[in-house]
This record gives sequence, C-alpha cells and structure tokens, in this order.
Amino acid sequence: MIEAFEALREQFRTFGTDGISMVLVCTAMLFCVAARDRMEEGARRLTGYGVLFFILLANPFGYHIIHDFWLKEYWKIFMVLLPVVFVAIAVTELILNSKSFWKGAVTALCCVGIFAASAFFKVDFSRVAVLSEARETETEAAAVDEMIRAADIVPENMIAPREICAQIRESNPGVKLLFGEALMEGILNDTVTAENEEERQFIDDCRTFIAVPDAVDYQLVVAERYESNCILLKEAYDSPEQMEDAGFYCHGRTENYAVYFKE
Amino acid sequence: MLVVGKILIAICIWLIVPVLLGSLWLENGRKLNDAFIWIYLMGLVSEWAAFFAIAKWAIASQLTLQKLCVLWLVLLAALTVFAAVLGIRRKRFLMPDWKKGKANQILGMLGLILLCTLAMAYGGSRQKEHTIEAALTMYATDSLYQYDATTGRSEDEMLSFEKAELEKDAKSPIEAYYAANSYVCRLNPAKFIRVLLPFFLLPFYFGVYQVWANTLFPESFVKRGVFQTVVWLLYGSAVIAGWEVLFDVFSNCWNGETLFFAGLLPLAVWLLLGERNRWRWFAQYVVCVLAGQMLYEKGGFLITFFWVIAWLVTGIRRWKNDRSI
Repeated sequence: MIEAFEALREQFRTFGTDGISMVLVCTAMLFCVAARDRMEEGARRLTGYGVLFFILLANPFGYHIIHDFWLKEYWKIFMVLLPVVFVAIAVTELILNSKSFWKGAVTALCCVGIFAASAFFKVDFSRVAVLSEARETETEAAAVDEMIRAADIVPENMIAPREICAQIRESNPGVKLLFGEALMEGILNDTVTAENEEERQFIDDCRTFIAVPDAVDYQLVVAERYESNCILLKEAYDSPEQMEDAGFYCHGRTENYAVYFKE
Repeated sequence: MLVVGKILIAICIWLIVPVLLGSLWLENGRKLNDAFIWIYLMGLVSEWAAFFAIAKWAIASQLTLQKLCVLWLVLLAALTVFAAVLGIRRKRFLMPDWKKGKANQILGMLGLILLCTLAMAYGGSRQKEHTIEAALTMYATDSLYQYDATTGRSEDEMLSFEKAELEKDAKSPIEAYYAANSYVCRLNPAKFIRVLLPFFLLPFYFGVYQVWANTLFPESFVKRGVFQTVVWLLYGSAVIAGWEVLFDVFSNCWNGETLFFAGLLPLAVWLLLGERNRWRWFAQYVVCVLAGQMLYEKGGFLITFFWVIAWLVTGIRRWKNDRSI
C-alpha cells in the first residue's frame, strides 16, 4: 500500500510537471466544496463529481487497479477531473465576488501569484525558440523534398537526421525512410523490443545512428547493409570525399543539409 | 476558384453537417437557436461516432481509403437528409437571434480569432506527433493502416514494433478520418490539417468551455466571460510554462489524444451531469464512447469509467434527496 501511495504521489507530480499542478487543482476543488452553497446548480454537481473522483480514482487502491489493468500512464486520468474547469471556477468566483473593483484586481493578482508559485515560477521560453526552429526545419524539408522530386529517383531506405525525418515524410509520402521517428522515439524511451536476431541488429544499428549522428562512415556501412540509395547529411558533418568514395553523389544542398544519391 | 470550392466542402462537413446532425438531439418543441453551441458540439461528436463505426469495419475488411470515402459520404448524406427533413417537419430551423447578446458574440468571435491565430502560429511545432504523416500516407497509398507512417514501410517490411504501433493507431482511427475528409475535399491532408483544421477544431474546444460557462454561471454574462478568459489563459500559459499536455491545444489541436482530453472529455462530463432523460443519457453515452474511442485508444474506457462515476453521483443525490423528504 505504501508503494502504491508513493507511486500515486509520483503520478501527481508527473501530471503537475506537464500540466497544472494537482495541488492547485485540489485547492480550487476545496474552494468549490466550501463555497458550494453559494454556487449554481451546475457548479454544485461538478463539485460532487470531483469529490467522488478522488474517492474512487485518486487513491492508492484506485491507482493500483487502473494502473495495473487499464492505463499505464495513470497520470492522464487526472484530466478526467477537469483541472482547467475547477481552477477557472475558483478564480472567477474569487475575482467577481469581491465587493469592490480594487479588491477584485488585488485578488486577480494574488491568483496569478498562486498560479505562478504552483508552477514553481518556471518560465520556459523554449517554446518560442521551438517555433522558429520548427519553421526553419519545415523550410529545409520543403527544399530537400524539391530536390528529391527533381532528381526523379524514389528514395529507398533513405537515411535522414532525426530532427528532419518526420517533416520529410510529411512533405513527400513517397519517400521510404530507413529509421523513422517513431522507432527512434521508441529506442530512446526504451519501449522497442526485437522479436528476432534480424530485428535486434536493425534496432542496434538505429541506436548507434542516434548516438553518433555525425559518424558518416557508419551511415555508409548502414546504407550498404540495407541498400539505401539516399542519404541526407547535415552540412556540419558532411564529408563529400568519403561519400563519393562510397559511390554517392551530391545532388544538391540546402542551407543546412546535403542530399546524396546513389545510382 | 477551385480552392474556394474545396474549402466550401470542408465547411459543409465540419460546420453545416454537424449542426444538422446535432439538431437530431433536440427535444421536441425546441428550436435550433435555443442551444446553438450545444447542437454544433453534439453534431460533431455524433459525426465522429458515425465515422468510427464504419471505419472500424472498413479497417477490419482491409478496404481502401477510396471505398471508405464512398461509404462515409453515403452515410453522411443519409444522416444529413434525415436530419434536414426531420428539422423542417418539426420546424426546428430558426436562425439564431444574432441581435440578442451581440456584445457577447463579438467578444466570443474575437477570442476565437485570437485562439485560431495562436494555433496557426504554433501548429505542428511539436515532434513526436504523427497524425499528418499517417493521414498523408493513407491518402497517397489509398490504404487504411497498411503502411508505417514514419517510414513508409509496408506490412511485410515492418518491424514487429512498427506493426504493433500501427495496430494501436488503428484502434482510434482519427488519422483515417482526416484522410477521408481530405480525400472528399480533394485537399492535401498536410495542408488540410495544418491550415484548415485549427479553424474548425478551435471552435469545438471553445464551444465546450462555453457550454460549461453557461451551466456554471447561467445568470452572469461577466462571470461567463471571465471563466472563458481564465480557461484560455491557463491553456495559453502553457506557451511559457512548457506544459506539454495543455500546450498541445495550440501545437497539435488535431491530435486525437488532445482532442479527447481537452475537448470531448469536458463535453462528456458536461453532458452526463446535465441530462435528466434516461434514454437520451444512454444515447449520449453510446455516442461519446464511440467518439472517444475514435480519438484515443483508451477513450471508450475512460468515458465509460467516469460515466459510472456520474451515475453514482446521481444515485447518491437521489438517495440524499429522498432522505430529506
């Protein structure tokens, strides 16, 4: 039981790091319970539903049953509690039940403070960076796709860097990739299992490719092994001589990538 | 001109047909403008449920995407004609009174435009999401879950891991839904999903929280507005807080899991806590389970689970009320 309790606490934390803190949601729910008599019928029903959720699901016993039999990612079940709705109810009631405008404004500020504290004042502007990176990768993928189409060769078992392989498939579904993003993710998350020796070898090759993406000689070995006719190399580790020695010719370059084909 | 026609077909499938289908859920004597948002939401959910029913059969029978599209169009046309005839006979179709609550509607529209802009800006910025690749692969190969979307490998070339992933994806065929609708509109699925879908799906998310706002604060327009604002500020804060779960509403609003957790699930809770008629309650449960399963592989289970909770809440309330009498 103690183990289940610890695991449940961990799930609360996991949910909090990827979404609204469960402490904040519980506080909002407690507020709804306390203010139940003042609220409308709909809010009262929702509060009852929230309380029952905790009694039935968010307890070590409920965790044990759900996690073992139905949902491995138990933390997702907290979305059933509708965290956004509960927090929004509490904030709305707190702000608009204040007697004067200024009291309401101060309450709103306090709510922002509590919210920020519940997220440990974590401000992560990487999203903005991700956005520009994603757009850049899209442009690159479009340019690569244009080159592939112009070459009039259907890429078989193409080897492409991890950060762009999904966009290549999104641009051109005719391209066959050797290592797809799902497989790479699976290897990184350790969820991929091999059923036979051939698969084990393939997964090991992919693992090495992820670990050393700049090893051009290794990519050539893999290309030879799986009969790849196209390799996309990052400009940063492009090695034209090595590629030409292996029978690949450079069909074109974008800002960050070089497209190689083999006849 | 051709593009305009394609967009009009998309509008028909994503806005007009859902409203017509949703009108089937109206109680006798009620008009369309009584509960316009609710009708639209129910119509879209019913559409998902209907698609799930035929897609599962089509996938099991290994039909092509083209054949699924024909089936889908026939079913959609039959349901639409039925809903339209019934609506006309029962005089349900009165245009919503736009003059009433004009400020409310203008604010709502502005909010929606802002959200759509955010979703357009951030759309597709997250990796590890393969809806577009999957829909595009089906569209290009005229098949249903026969090829691995991330590599393009066919069934006999796939790894066992990839086969298992494909089987898992086929359990919730949202990608087939997008592929089929793109095929019907003759639009490239990548463009259809990235450019058009935010404009059709953000109103769904927005509508779900609007019906919640209407239920929670029926008397106060200001409270409803503040509630909606707080909800979207919470979702918006994910941009700077780095929260994957909430951020997905903007980065991949089309993703089945996101659509389920941030859209269908709150709607389902709202439905089951609000409905009093036992038969409608059960019918809504069936539709939500099918739609939930269509969006997320565990969707059917989760909907059933909390429907049971709601049923218990109702039971306890009735028992409490009886005791007080």
